[in-house]
Amino acid sequence: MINFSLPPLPEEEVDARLADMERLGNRDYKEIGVPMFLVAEDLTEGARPRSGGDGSGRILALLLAEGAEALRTRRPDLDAEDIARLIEALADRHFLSLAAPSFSRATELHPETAS
Amino acid sequence: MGELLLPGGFDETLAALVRGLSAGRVLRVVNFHATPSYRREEYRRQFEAYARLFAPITPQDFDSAFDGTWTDARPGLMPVLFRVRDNVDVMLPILEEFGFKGWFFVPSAFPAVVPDVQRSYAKAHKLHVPARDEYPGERIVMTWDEARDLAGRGHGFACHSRSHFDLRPDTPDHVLWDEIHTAANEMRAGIGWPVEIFCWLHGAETGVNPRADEMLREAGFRYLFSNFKVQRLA
Repeated sequence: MINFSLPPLPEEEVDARLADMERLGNRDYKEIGVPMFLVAEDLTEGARPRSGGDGSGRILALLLAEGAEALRTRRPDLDAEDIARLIEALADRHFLSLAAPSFSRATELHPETAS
Repeated sequence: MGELLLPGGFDETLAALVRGLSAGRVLRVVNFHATPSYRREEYRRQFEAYARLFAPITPQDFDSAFDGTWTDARPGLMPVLFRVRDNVDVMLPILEEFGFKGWFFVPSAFPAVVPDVQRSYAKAHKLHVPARDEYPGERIVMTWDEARDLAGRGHGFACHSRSHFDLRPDTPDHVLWDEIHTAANEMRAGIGWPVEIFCWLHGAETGVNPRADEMLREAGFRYLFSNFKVQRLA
C-alpha cells in the first residue's frame, strides 16, 4: 500500500482561504442564494448507509479536513461557527465545479457521439 | 449568523462530516430568505446555470436523494426558501421556468399573524425581511392558501418550528411541545397533509436536546435539517 500524505498548505494559501471565509461571512444573507453541502446521516435502527457517487464526496472530505487543520494552525480553539465558515467556503468554491459531468459524458461537448 | 450549538465537540463533528462526505452522502441545497423583485434577474441567471448541472429534488424523490439511490446522472438540488411573500411572487416563477421544486421552510405560526404586525413579528423572531419593503401596508408572509396551492403543484414543505425557535439543551418540555406538536398540527391543517421535515432556527442537530429529538419522532417527523446535516429520524 502506498503511504502518502500531502504537504501542509503554504502560509499564503492559508491566508487566502481565511480571507475568503471572512469575505463570505460578511455578506448580507437576507436576499442572496447561499449554496451549501449537507451530509445525509441515517439514524434509524438497522440503517445501512450506502456509499457511492463519483468521488466528489471524497474530494470534499479531503478539502474540509485540510481546511480545518490549516485553520487550527492559526486558531487552536475551533468551534461550530468555524465549521460553518469552512463548509460555506467549500460550497462557494466547489458547488458548481463538482457538479459538472465528466468530460466524456458532457453531451454538449460531443454532439456526434450523443447523436 | 446566530449561535450554533453542536451536540459534541469540534473534532467529533468534523470527523462525522468527513466520514459522511467521503461516503458520498451529500445533499446540495441553496438557501434563500427574502427574494425581492429587484434581484429577479440575478436569481434567474443562477437557476439557469443550476438547470444545466442539477436535477430537481422533489418531495417524491427526496428519499432517494437522501439514501444514495438517486439515479439521475446529475446531482439533485434543493432550493430552500423561507416562506416570505416574495418567494411566491418572484422566485416561484423562476423555479418553475427551470423545472425546479421549491422547498418552503415555514414557522407555522407566521402565516396566521395579521398583516399589520407581521413585520414586528418577523423582527421579534429573527425572521429575515428584505432590505427594501416591496409590500408597504400589506402582508409579507406566504398565506396558507398559497402554501396549499404550491404543495398541490409538487413543491415541498418543511416545518421550521412554530415560532422560529432557537432550540437549547434546557428548553422546557411545554415549550418543546408547542414548537413541535402544535407546529406539526398547524402545518398539517395549513397544507392539507403531514410534513415530514423539521428544522430549528440556527439549525440544531440531534443530540443538542434529546427530549426534542424524541418528541420530533413522536410528532411524525422523519428528517431533521441542521446546519451541516440532514438526519433521518424515523
